[in-house]
Amino acid sequence: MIRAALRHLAGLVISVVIVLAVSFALMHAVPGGPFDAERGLHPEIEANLARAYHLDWPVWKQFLQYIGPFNLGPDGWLGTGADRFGGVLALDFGPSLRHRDYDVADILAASLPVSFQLGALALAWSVPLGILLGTLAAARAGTWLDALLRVLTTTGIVLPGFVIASLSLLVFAFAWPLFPVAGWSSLRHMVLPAFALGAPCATYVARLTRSGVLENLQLDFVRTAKGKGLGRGAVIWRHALRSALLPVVAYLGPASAAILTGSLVVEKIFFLPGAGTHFVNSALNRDYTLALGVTLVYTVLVFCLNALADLLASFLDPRVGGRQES
Amino acid sequence: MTGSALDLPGGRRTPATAARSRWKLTEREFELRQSAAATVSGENPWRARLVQLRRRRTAWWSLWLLGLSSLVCLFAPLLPLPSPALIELRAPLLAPIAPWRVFGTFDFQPEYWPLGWLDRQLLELRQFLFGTWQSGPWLGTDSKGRDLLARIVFGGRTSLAVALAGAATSLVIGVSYGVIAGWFGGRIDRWMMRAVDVLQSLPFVFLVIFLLTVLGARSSSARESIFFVVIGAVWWLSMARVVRGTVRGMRSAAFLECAQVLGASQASSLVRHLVPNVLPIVIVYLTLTIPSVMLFESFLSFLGLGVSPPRVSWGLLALEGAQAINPLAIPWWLVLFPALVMGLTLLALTMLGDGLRDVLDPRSQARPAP
Repeated sequence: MIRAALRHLAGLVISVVIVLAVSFALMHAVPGGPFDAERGLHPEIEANLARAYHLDWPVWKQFLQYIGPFNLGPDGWLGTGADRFGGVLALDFGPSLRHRDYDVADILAASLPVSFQLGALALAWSVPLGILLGTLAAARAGTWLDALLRVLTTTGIVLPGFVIASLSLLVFAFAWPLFPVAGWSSLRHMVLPAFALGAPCATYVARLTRSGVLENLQLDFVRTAKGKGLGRGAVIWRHALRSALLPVVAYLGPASAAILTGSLVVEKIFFLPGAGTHFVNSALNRDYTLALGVTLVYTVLVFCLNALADLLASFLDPRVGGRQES
Repeated sequence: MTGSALDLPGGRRTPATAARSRWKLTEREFELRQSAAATVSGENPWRARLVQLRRRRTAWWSLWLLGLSSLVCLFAPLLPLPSPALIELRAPLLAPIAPWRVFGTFDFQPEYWPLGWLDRQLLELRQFLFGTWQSGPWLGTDSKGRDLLARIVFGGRTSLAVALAGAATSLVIGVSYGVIAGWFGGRIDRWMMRAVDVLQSLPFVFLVIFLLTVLGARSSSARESIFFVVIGAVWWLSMARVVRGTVRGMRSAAFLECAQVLGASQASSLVRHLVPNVLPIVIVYLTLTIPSVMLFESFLSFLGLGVSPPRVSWGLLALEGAQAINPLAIPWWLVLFPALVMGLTLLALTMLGDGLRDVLDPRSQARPAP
């Protein structure tokens, strides 16, 4: 257990360092800086800008300054002139290159709560509902209910998230104005985005649960439970479902990654002020520092969620523990 | 999965079904024995596999549907469709008009983005065959007066090309990585697979978007080629894993040892024995990779980071549909038809992939597709 956690941690550190190094190298290797778009800058202004963002330093020094709270001053290694910039390790991703007077950290602090709220809401409705529907489908396998649920889950898996989002917007906000079109202030604003974001996850969980429960229903322990005289409901909900939940728990890691990814489009469609919107905009107008900041935060987040789901699964199922060889 | 779920509808009594019921075999067991018999008797195993695939109706129909739609996409410039790029801002937003009301008009203008040589020839042939005749706005037009049907067909071309190119890249990287790891085994294998594990838990979408941020501002063609490569380079992980598993399983297989005892060189045993054994699984994973690459392309295009405007792809169409709806006008066709086409294609690809997996990878459990 502890070994597994340590292994995950090592993987996290290694991959974050690699992501950092590669992306930093790319940013500097590509010709043309972020200030190219504004035409006709005076060379002195350009030099000033370069000095302000330390673009005139050697690359290794810029990298060190970007990573850690080394406080490289203007007059050399650990200089005296205090620099506002504390480095990634101090959760400081530098100034945004496009939003003047904003640090990446400020933007993230304002926008991440929105994204997290949205993602948590989506997970909160989709996982329980998926489990419920999947178990129902397994309990009524072969009936019209199962067929209906199968059609629903297939649709949810096949249709991309942004199509579900625009269709639900079309139906529930324009054709039949139940919910507001955009914005993020009250619970009513959150219904449609959370629905669109959680739908693919719910359908996948439903499929996982259904096949797990069906598989368990043929095993000996379920026969024992039936033999003891338990009712059908108790057999399914208390015995067959319990071990069928393991793959669902293991799926929670990838699910949260998928939800973070999906929130990029959902935020765009519903005009939400979340980190996803900022990320897409930063990619469109080449705001390197903001893009890298969001990438790093999400990398660490996804890694931690994956590791957490793995650990939880191995905690719940002693068979999974230790190293898995495939 | 029980055997009964795979049973054929109807219940025709052929010699095969009679034998099956006599030995009380499930469909799956029966097929496994059939293919084993085919291998032993020296028949071409692919023939038996084709028959088995045909017996899975949804997979077979999906194959036909996909073949047909890729032909339509490939020969799109030959079809008498309106131009997908001609912008007429003064034209009103037209709702779909049924073919029996307006079948076609005679005002085709050949305006496209720069086409390749083959497409130019096709376009000339089209003008020779149909003149200026073009089909009516059967699926409506968008806010810039462009015909939606033509845009869906040409968008399908882009999506298909991206999917195939991405899948091909993932094929090359994944198979070579998997074969190397599986063949050499030991420490090399362990480290290579550890790397795959680490890569798998990275949020690739974000990394790719960051990459496009940094590299993508050059010309749009450079951007598109980067895009193909990047897509393919991301999707090789599961391919590598599966190929490595198969190769490892084969390493210890008796027939390979026999071949080497008989004096076959490493290279020749690689080619003679490895390829036929790995190929089925590679085909299955290729079919499952294509829809996810397609989905990813449309995702990026939807965000405005993929295919750039005079060209068109399904993701871009979905984006335009989403942007077109407003409280005053609800052009539902701009949302519905691209969604329908994309959904159908992805569904068909998924079904085909599932069917192929049943047939070509008999050891796999019937699991819900990702």
